[in-house]
Amino acid sequence: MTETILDFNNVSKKFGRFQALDSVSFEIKRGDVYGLIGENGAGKTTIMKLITKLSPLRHGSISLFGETTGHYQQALKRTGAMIESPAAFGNLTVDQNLKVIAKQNGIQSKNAIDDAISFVGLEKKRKTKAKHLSLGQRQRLGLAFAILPHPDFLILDEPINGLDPSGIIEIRKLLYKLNHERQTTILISSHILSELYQVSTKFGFIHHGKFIKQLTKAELDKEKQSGIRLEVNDVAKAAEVLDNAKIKPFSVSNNHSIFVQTNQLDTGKLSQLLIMNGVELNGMTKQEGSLEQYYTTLLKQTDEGEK
Amino acid sequence: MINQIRADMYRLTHSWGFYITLGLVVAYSFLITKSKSVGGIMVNGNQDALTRLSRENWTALDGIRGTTMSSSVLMYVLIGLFVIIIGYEFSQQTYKNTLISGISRFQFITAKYVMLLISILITIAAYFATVIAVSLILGRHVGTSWAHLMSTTGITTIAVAFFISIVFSIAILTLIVTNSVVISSILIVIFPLAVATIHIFADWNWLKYIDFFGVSNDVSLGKLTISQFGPYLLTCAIILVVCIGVSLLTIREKEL
Repeated sequence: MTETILDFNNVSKKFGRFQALDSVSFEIKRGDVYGLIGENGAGKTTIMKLITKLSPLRHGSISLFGETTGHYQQALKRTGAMIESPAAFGNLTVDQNLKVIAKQNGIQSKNAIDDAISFVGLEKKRKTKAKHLSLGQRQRLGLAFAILPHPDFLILDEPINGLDPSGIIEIRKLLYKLNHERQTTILISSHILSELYQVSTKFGFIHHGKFIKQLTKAELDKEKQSGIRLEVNDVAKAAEVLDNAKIKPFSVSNNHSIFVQTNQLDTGKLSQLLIMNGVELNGMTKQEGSLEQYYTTLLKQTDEGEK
Repeated sequence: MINQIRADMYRLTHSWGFYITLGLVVAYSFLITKSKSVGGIMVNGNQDALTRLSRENWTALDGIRGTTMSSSVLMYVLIGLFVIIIGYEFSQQTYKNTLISGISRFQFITAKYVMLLISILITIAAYFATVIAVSLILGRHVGTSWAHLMSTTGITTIAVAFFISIVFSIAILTLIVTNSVVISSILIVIFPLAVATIHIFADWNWLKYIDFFGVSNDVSLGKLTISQFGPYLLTCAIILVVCIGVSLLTIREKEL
């Protein structure tokens, strides 16, 4: 059985009257790259701060590497994290900042610092003071801090914020390497869902402090919708035509749009069918199912369920 | 905790602020010793000693006593060390890196206090070492036996450094409660002034127990015996335990 790295059990958190987390439970297994998805203020950062003890736990329990809340100082030594914006000593160079982290973690090997610097691609900036780094470079430095002690579990809060496209690709490769070469388990959040989809093997959805769904990438691929979007003049008539032709499932999105939830249809034949039955076809788009779309639909369903 | 002290020591020795502070302290000590000028903030300025020091040709021992009387001013210079060692952690939020590394809150607070004490000790040692060096360069007499001079210097160094560290422990608590380097630095600035001012308006005898620089003066002048020193040490120990304890409780409950 795969080892449970993190067991986040029935955790609630309030800031004044604001319920930041409401009975949130989820597990992360060894080797997972766990993508945490939620809107701003959903509770992603709060979860990460609770795990790393930057926020005191009041309700529920957290177990890290089998050690329980309040007593997992040793488990934290096996954990690396970058939460919110990366913090570094501005007047120290990249090299010196990493030396400080190395000393804090009792790391003697000089190679560890060289490895971390080359891992995040900051070789040319190692003598540059942290205050002179760009946002993307600071992000890389924060990542270097997190991976320097070779953690078994890595927590990354919006690690690709401020990175240019090539930086995003490099971070993606880096996370892949960490997960595959060092067997690092990763908990990651990002607003760029397409990116999160590429790196994660498991997803947890959080909305207004509630954990609404967890699924693996394979399950997500099955669930997320792909199909054909039709722009028509008369949705009722178009729906009737599709129904008669036994083209299912489909959903009416609005007065002019129908979404046919299958990608297996011949689009030429479909347009011919509609036109022949007197439906004016104004547009047809083949749509691949995306994480964004799945997320939007999931939130809509959750909000409707709450009403 | 040792790792944290090592990390802070590395950071301190790679910071210009530390060397500037050290330079200012040495320069201040040099000026006092050379010009034989004494000044500072005191609750009970020892008039006899002040008069004697203003009249006599200084020996190295007089230099130690004169600079001890002027040591309250060092608080303002040493704020730099407070900012480098702990203030910056809070203003730049680098404490996140520190606390995530698995160090406990108690170890974090204690390591910061110990590091402050060590750095203050180094700086104060340099302050008094400068007095002896300048006195010898200027051809002044030792003023007593070398053994007595060294023991007086050693005890005074420890007393001054310890008393300053007590004020800094109050500043650590203020920093953790308020998250403000400015407020905690202001506290360091006003502490000796406040003690002196309150003493002028309210003749409270107990103020002498927190008049740390007055105690240091008495130590250097040999006016305090070991038995008389007890209540002062006890006061300091209580302040230290309360400050570290409340800092610990505060940081445990704090959203970081």
